[in-house]
Amino acid sequence: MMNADLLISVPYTWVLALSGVLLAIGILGVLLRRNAITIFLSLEIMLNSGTLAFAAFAMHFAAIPGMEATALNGQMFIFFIIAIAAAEAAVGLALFIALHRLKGSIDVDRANILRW
Amino acid sequence: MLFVPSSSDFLAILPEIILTVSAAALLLFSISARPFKRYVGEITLFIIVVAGWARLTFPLPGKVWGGTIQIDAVSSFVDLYILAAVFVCVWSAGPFLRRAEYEHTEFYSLLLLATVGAMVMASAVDALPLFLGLELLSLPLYALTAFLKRTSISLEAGLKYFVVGAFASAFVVYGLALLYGATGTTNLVAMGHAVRAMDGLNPLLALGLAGVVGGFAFKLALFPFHSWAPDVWQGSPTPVTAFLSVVPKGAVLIALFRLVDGMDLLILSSRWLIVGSILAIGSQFLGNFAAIVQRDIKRMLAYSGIAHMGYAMVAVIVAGLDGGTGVLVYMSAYTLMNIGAFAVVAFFSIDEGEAHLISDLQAQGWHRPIPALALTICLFSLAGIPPLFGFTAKFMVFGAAVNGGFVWLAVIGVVNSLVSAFCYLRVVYVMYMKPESSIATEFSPSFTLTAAAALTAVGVFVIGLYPTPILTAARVAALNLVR
Repeated sequence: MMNADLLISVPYTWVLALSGVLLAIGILGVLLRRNAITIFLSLEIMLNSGTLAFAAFAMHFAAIPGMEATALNGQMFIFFIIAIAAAEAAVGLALFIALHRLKGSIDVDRANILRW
Repeated sequence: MLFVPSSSDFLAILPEIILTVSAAALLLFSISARPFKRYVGEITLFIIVVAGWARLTFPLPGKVWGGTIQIDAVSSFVDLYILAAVFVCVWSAGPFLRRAEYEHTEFYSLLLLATVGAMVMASAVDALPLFLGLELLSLPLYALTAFLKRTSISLEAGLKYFVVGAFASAFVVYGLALLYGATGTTNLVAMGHAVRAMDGLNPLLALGLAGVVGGFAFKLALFPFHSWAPDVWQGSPTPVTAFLSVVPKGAVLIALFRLVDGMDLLILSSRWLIVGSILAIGSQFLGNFAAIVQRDIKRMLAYSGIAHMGYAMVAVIVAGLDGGTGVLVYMSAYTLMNIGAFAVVAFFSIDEGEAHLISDLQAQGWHRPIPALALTICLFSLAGIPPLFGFTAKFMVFGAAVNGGFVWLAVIGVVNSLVSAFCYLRVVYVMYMKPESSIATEFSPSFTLTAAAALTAVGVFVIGLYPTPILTAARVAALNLVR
């Protein structure tokens, strides 16, 4: 059983810091990795760090009397981001499957015809 | 407070509803009714005209849907140039897809959905529809870029666009989250009020703005974030390149302007002027100088597009009523002349997997006089030569810069226009200045593409001679755009 008091006692800045760390992990993953699936997962981590940042601020506003509506606005945003992330996954995976069919590999370095 | 949508809410977004429902219906019918597939291009054109008619006919009620979307003169101005661009894209896509043997209804359906995204984004006054519009615009475009999925160049362009686009979207989301945290609202107008009430930027606000502006700069292909653009423009099917060269830019730039003007960034922080002018001037120099050395015409137009976004950024920096008018006029001019140029490029292409070399256009001025003349007019207009529409638009933007006290921005812009004339005139030189007898590549004629190109070229010319109606409409719209 989870202790509700414990959950609330986590300061929102910690959640925000976690979202910042996730964003950094995502950015590094996109920039450093060469496997398309890993890049794609890093992109999803980046999007979800945004979700977590919204959740953190919503948590902060929910604790302030009179700002409950603002908190709800932020929480509503989260659902839309999750839906968008799913749609993005569909398009991205379709592209990777097409790449694999054409080249037999999902190493993004193989996609290098377009230069200067 | 519970929000219950009324009939006026639905009526206000009728064009968007028409386009969305038709996009779904097109997919459905293409499965069930085979003979219908042959006319899908014509049906799409009809749908676009109906959507434009709906925007013109029904009243513009201002804020609807609980104050998240604002349907006013800005929406009608932006929607009409977006719909005009999509009309020419769809018109020129028919012969193109037939030639490439990729006639699929999904093409038109995705194009319509992306159009809805752009229209929503241009009317959004809340962070949520802004983000949803951006994604609805981007996701179909990733698929469209890779539409020729057995051609590795197109697939590669799609892959690059997807990775860069999703990267930029993630920054926009994170930036919006930070702005929400800093101001306590998702409404852009309320956000602007909250920010103007603060004295200076706090770190949270600065980071949030950096995320949103950076993400938008990625989408606009502005200078430090431009490197994806030439690859994607070259690799995409030509009608898709035409679409993604104008429609996303028109919508994103309006959203960026709303944000910048609403927060009054110029007064708020001296750093914005530095950041904004690096984006603007860097794009102009990079775009124009890199365009000179290109051998592929689509790549050359990509660099020229980067430079043009640099000019439009000048109007965003100036902000206020002059800047707003400048942005609207510039985007409508850029849309018209670029879409015309790409219709001609679609005419002068044989195999989508090959490069569209400028040298292939040799002596086409005599062999295919009408498309060559249309391309010449569009390129002259892009270079800003009077009396064409492109000159009027540049005049508005640089005039706004001078009035706003940014003479140096105007001077740099004019110098860049002169440099840019070189790369456009090079194409015209190749088309006309070689002797008539020299060997020309044989391009198969297409009445549709010729007509589309000729129509836009005539538009560029006529509006350039008589710009008053467009300027007045832009002025009226700008009154709603600024705070």
